[in-house]
Amino acid sequence: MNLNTLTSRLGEWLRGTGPESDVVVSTRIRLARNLAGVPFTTRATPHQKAETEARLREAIAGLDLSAPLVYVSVASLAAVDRQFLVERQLISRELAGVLDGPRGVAFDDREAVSLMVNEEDQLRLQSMRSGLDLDAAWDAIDHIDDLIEGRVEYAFNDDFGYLTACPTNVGTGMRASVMLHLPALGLTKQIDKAFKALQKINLVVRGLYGEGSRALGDFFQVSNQVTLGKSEVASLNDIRSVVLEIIKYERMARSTLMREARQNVHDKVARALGTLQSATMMTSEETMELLSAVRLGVNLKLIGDLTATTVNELFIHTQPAHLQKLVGEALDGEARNAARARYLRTRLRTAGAE
Amino acid sequence: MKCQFCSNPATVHLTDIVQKKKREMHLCEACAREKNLIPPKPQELNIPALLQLVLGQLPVPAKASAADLVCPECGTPYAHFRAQGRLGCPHDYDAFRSLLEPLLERVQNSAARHTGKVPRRHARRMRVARKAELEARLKSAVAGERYEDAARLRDEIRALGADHEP
Repeated sequence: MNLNTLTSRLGEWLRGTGPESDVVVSTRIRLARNLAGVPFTTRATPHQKAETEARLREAIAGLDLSAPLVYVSVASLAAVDRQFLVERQLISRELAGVLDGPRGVAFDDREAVSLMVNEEDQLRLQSMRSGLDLDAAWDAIDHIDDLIEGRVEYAFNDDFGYLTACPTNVGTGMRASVMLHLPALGLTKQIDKAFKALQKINLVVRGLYGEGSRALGDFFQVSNQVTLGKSEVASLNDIRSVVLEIIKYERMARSTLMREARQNVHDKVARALGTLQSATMMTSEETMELLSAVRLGVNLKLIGDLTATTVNELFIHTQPAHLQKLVGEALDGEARNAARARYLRTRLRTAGAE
Repeated sequence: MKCQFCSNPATVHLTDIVQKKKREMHLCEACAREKNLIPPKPQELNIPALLQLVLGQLPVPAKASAADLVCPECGTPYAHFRAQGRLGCPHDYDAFRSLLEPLLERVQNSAARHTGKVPRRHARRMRVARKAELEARLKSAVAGERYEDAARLRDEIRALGADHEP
């Protein structure tokens, strides 16, 4: 398939809609699965990996889904295309570059489902939803998991549940993450307080692009840590109750800001927009920080003619691989920063703070 | 401002204080990178190190037995798992069970068994095995004329049969 056709579309997680979308960007659930009687990916021979890929590819191709999946072989993609899929969160950084050999990903047109083959676990099933929608994400991936399990035998054991390459995933193999945008908690310096509650109940906070990534632009992912001894539904309920609590804090902080420091917030938002509209060099980190302020401005109705969806689009389009695809040539360092600034200037020409 | 090492514009500015003397450096990105002043990409979670940390707190198991344990199925030594943080195959969970259980207790915060989803074909197999076991016990109950037990077992078998899946 030609990945370039994806550039003009927004994946499900960036639609900017769904429940609680003023604070919650997206919901994502992944399941880790392996085939019975086959070594895990990192200990498999190239021949075994090829066999696993063929078996899973066939199982995936035979699925009867309302939204059909397209399989892309990652091993044969150019580096920029792999990075492109990472930016869209269709594949992990590991599948893109750390692992080698036969591997791939199947996803649907809406980019609401992605199935990675020969990741650290042989099958990583993911479902994405815009906003806070744990139930819909779970139902979708649970269903696909059932269908695949009808075609291949999973490695499973009564005591340990679904067996995974890393013991941190064993049991349900489920990691559910909710991505939150918490600029007001950041501005009012309450973020640490809000996250203290999480550690007590075994939830983890990470940056935008998962494990090990920094929390840029006030984006945070909250996910479950425990996978053994707690059912999927119980884990989802824990996450939901904590996320609803954080949403409440963030909204309170936003209204406090609007009540007590409206002028300052407005100024911060207007300056962010102004910089994006006129700078001639822009790193992706700075873009992220400024767009975060603009997103807050949109949600607080301080900027009239911009939507959250447009801001999301700018987030993804200014990532390195997307930018290079939009420009149509390979760019590095300063040339990329100049192209990013040019793109932002053009797109935001008509927007203004009210 | 220009880079101290070449003529490109300086974008990295460093200030440090050595023996109460302030020292400033101005470099371009390329030179800073070359001199390892810019930190590399966001760090991956170092799983081996984490496991090491977790395992380090455990009472050291009888040295020879733990280090020399090898999975008979895939040939992965336990030592490999300790170094890499990844198991070799599903059978490792049985082969290394006694060593993994205390580890799981720490990384998973409990010693609990799996609760949650069970693959349907596995559940079916479990039901068949359970039924066979109950039937054998029923037979011996009848033979031993323990009719109360027999009645109870028959009910259990019936309950198992009733919830069969396609």
